[in-house]
Amino acid sequence: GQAATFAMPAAKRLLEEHGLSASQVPASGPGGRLLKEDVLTFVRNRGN
Amino acid sequence: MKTVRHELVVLGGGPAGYVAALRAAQLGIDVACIDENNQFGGTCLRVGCIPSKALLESSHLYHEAKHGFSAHGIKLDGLQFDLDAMMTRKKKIVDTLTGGIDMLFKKRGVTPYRGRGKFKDNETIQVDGDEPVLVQADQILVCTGSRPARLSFIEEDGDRIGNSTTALSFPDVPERLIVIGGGYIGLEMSSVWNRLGSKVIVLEALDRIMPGIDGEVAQLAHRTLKKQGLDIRTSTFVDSAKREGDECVVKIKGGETLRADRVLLATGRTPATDNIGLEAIGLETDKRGFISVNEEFQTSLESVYAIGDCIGGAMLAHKAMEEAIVCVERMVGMKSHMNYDVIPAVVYTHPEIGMVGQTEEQLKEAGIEYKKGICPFGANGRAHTLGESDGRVKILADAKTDRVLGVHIIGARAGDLIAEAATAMEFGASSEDIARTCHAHPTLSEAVHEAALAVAGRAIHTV
Repeated sequence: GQAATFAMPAAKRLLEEHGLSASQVPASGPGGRLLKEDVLTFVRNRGN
Repeated sequence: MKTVRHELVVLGGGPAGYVAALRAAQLGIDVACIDENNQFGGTCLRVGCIPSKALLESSHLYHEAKHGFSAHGIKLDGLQFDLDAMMTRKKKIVDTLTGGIDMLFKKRGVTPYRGRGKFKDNETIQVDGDEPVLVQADQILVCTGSRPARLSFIEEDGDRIGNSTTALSFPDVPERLIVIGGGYIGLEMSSVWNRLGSKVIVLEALDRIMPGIDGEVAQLAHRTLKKQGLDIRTSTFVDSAKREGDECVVKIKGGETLRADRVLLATGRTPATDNIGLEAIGLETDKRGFISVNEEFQTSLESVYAIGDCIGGAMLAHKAMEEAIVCVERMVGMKSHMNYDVIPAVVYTHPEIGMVGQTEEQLKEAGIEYKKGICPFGANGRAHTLGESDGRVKILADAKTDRVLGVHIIGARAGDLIAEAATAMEFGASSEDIARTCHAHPTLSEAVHEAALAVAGRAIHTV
């Protein structure tokens, strides 16, 4: 993943809920878009 | 014979060919396009998408006037239709759109050649038109499309027993019509003639109609089409069909013999790759006639490319158009890509069917866990105001990531509604992304929104 250029709406919601910013989470969506699943993966891995 | 040379020559002027030619011209390539028909536009514009949709709309309006208007308090006396006028309207639309391609070719500088094109060697195509000409090019793009498949035991005469092209131009409404094949082409044409008064029997060899469409949606479609008067018989094999005078006789395997005024054979389409001189350049097709290509749409010959129906895959106009853009852009070094996972498909019966991505059957087979969100059109205000409360939107999303994996819509304007789903999927959207997008009220698109909410069990207008 690369640094996010844009966070999808559901990703934005999740970021805020977890106190994260888009720059912290690697983005895998087209054109560097941060997907909901990117945040979910990030949070899951951070939890471990 | 006159010899001309271009940088790129496109063999075939259908959705693959004319789009490739236009995009190539836009990118500064000296391009020519060859087509054997008087009109550019290929199957889609001349004898496919466009004329069939014209007749579907005319017959639907007639059907609505007859059966639907009274619910709006509109009374009609002496309702009639004029088949000749419907056919004239259809022809006008085809002429306008094919004429549009001529105009675009002219404006963008695409050189058209009308006539049958055949490979002479791997950089020369001989065009046998009014003025035979040898067209040479650095690169040749084969876009020869497809044609209705024939079956040896169906004796087509192109009149009483014919294919989709024949069925688009019946001179009168057949009293009894037998359609062999319960795919989308067969069912669309069945709808047209059923609405105009034909008694239509659809014979399908499989145990369901519309293979490829999500099973649940196909079942709903089957029920609705039956209610509209189509006599659909699945798991029914045809032994033979032949003409006897002005009548057609269709024998069912191990069953009865049916008689009809006309028979439509619509069991599939086959690539049109024979008789274009592929043997002259040593290019072999697979058993079914499809040309094999690599990711760049290049054949086994360096200078010969192929796209559209003739390379197989989904035989859809927009798939061919997409390949055209990607193929030509790659020729000039652009890194454009083709996403075969997100190609919508639409059936223009009424209600329409729109789908994109994977069906439930495919997900189950692949062992992918998914969540399902459904919104019936009955829960949509706009659907009621339109008198179109039959139908549903189904969204399938990955159980873990919530990414949208497939969207299946049956209902009015499903073909238009599916575009939102395709866009969302192209952006890797989750069902929540669609749910968090504000949709205008009242619109049918709210049913998509509501189905997305339903994936997570938080639909507002359904329980």
